[in-house]
Amino acid sequence: MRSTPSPERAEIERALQSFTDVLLAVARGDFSVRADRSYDGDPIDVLAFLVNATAEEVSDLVRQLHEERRELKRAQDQLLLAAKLASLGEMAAGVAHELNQPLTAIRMLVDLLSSRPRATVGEALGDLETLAEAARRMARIVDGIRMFGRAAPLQLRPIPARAPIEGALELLRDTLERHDIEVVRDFEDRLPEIEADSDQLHQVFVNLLLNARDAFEDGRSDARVIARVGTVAGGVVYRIEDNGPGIADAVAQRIFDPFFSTKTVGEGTGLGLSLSHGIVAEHGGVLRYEHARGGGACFVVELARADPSGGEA
Amino acid sequence: MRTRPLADLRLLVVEDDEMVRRVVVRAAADLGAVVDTAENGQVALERLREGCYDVVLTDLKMPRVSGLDVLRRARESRPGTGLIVITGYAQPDDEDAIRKAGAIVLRKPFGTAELEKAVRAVCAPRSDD
Repeated sequence: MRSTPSPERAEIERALQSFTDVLLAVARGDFSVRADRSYDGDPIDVLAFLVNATAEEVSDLVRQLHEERRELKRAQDQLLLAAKLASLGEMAAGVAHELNQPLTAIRMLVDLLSSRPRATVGEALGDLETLAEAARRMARIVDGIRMFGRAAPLQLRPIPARAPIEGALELLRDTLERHDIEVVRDFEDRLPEIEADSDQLHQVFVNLLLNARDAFEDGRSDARVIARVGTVAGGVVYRIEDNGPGIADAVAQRIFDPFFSTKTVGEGTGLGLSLSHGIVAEHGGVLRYEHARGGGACFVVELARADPSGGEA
Repeated sequence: MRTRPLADLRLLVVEDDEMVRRVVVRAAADLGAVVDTAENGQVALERLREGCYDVVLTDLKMPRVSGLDVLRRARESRPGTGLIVITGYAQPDDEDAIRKAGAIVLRKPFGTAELEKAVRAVCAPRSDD
């Protein structure tokens, strides 16, 4: 049988309950609860003051933390955008050149067709087909550029496994050519579909190819990049392999770290590979580095196929 | 019957972009030229060893053997050859090198009139041959 507590004891229990309420509220992220105070300066009131001050302090710290996190996110978004713009700027000349190729075909064919006003549609059919092909090619280039402005969440849908790497190779055809880099495609004939965000994966391959391009020293006459796409059980494996100098082990351990770059300050953002790593991971896949057989670098992207039971694109 | 402004002119078109090569060949043939093609610089050098051309039209940036290498070889094998570089972009340095090689630049995108004008421009000195 419990005896009735003394008034002092009851006061202490009330105070402890009040402090507990404050601390429990703080623990669940509610900083609005405060302990009652008597303002008479006795030890319980002093304790109440300290509990309230602690709650206040924690509340300030948490608010500050949120603010800093928002600030950091903003800075990170800006950096990602800057990285995208940097690669876009780098590609501008190449893109202009790429667009000028089909544009030349279009101008020439229009001139040729208008110089033969009596030609029948049958006679002009071949030229019209080339015109349509040129227009499609321009559309592909424009599609390739469009994704660079985006920072959208992943939009997964089944796409042919070769599409994102083909798109990246098409977009960078000119820049690789200008650097005297031979591109070898080694794609398996029957590739399945993958579940992927085509734009974002395209960016991964653009980054990997730009990286390969930058691996070569100027003036090298046998620079080569091999793009392979093959299948393994349940998945698709992409390999971007170059015959450059490769990456030393100590460096290879850090290449996926954000802002890690071996390029001269101002030349690389150090975000290309870390962004790519993140995008592939979001797809549930793996991006990793391997030494290429000839001593160069090899980046491997592994992704699950859209329909693991089979089905070819 | 239409006149054939470039009748019987022997032309070598060096361009690695299949679509551009195809239309340039079509247009040049339409103007009366006898056209050979090369899909890269290496093949162009072979063609220059085997045959003789009045005009060589070449892309600038090609892997391994560049347009400038093609121009130099064309000049060596036949000093009077008319030289045209077709390019979608040319940095000032490139333009200098092209001029030094004795060629003119035809910028993409171009039409048949520009093509004809460029070929005529590099053919003009041939009247002295």
